[in-house]
Amino acid sequence: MKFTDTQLKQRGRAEIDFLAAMGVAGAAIAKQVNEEVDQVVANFSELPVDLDQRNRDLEAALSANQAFRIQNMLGEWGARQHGEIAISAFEEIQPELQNELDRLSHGATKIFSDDDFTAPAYWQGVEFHRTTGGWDGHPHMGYIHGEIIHRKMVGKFASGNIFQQRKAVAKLASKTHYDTILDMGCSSGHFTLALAEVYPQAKIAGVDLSLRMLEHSQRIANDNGWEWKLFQRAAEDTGFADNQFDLVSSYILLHEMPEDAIKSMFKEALRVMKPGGELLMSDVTRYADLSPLEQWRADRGAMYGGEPHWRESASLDFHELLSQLGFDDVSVGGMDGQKYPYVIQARKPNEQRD
Amino acid sequence: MSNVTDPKNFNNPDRTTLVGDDVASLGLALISLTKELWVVRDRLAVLEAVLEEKGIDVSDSIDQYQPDDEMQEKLEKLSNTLVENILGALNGRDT
Repeated sequence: MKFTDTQLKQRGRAEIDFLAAMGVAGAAIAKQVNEEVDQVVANFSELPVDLDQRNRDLEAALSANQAFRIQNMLGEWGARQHGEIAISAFEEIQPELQNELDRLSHGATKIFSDDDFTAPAYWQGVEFHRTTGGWDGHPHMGYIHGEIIHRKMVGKFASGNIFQQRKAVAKLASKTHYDTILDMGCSSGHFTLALAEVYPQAKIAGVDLSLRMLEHSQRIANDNGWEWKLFQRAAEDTGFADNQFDLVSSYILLHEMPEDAIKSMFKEALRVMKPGGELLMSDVTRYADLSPLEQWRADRGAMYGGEPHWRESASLDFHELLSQLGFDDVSVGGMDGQKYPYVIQARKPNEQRD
Repeated sequence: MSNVTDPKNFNNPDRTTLVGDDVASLGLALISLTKELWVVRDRLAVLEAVLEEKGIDVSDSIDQYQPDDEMQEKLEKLSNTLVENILGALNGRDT
């Protein structure tokens, strides 16, 4: 059985088709809600600055609207059910897939994990994206997240091709070759894969908090015959020696971290980068670059979508933060004039400042 | 002498069933039920297509089919799962 983009059984396929149908129905309902928002909000610039107050005001104004209530119900059902559907779809194909899962656990790519590793409090027990049980909630959550939720749900329903987006971001680094790359929060390996394809000569290391996700990353690398080194470590405490990497990256990690952890992660990136090394990260759009109504939608999506750190992260000024920390050539903004992917680039000075 | 003022009141007793928060659970259950219905519809459509490809017309046979004990047990298991999922959702369980 093919390891990636695997063919699902009828139930799994039909349930994901149903989620897609729900998305289509949901888009029509969202249009109705948007029309109602235009009716109830006289002046968008006068919405409360405080995001909680803004949400309370808008919820109160929209509560009498049936489309808004149905939208809430559909959102809640999807949030609760998508993980269950993905697990069920995986368990249907697992017997036929198991040999490949076992085979690809062995190869040139290794996982390094300390028995006494403890994940930070901001991550432990959190069911990010409201994924049932969180990132380690199933013995095969790496495959379930990477190949079913990510590839067959997000890849199918999200606007834009999420794999092409990753590759396009990977290509934004200034050079055509890097000796050493560190992918922070490499998760199930889909951005690491893009890095390996764009920079085939690079030695690649990845860190992530979830062993289950690293296991999938390992299989992706072994399936391609690559030799990555994967570590179950926090991005803000990688354990690497100073000045090791030419390029330090992350994709869609920052919004899963609170402000203090993000600051620590940037400091860690600066420490492990070689002088002149590059930082290339991509994440969700900053609130400062969204309209008040877009902020409300994003914040509300985070509130009900299992994203406890989104607001804190999206409220940061990364340009200011990276400049303060000592990075040079800092640039932040949407790629190709779009608001997403939002790309953060910077460089470590060639010489240490006093 | 009976204390029942009108025994016919027992025909359709006034009994509270779903209230308040139950309505939200009911909505979620309805979507779960629709999903299950879709899975079955999908499977039936696929089944018909597969059989047609093989030149087999089964519609009459399906109408005449009588399950044996093994098939009956399988059907009961499937129907029990479906009902448990719907009732579970109604009861606030994530099914």
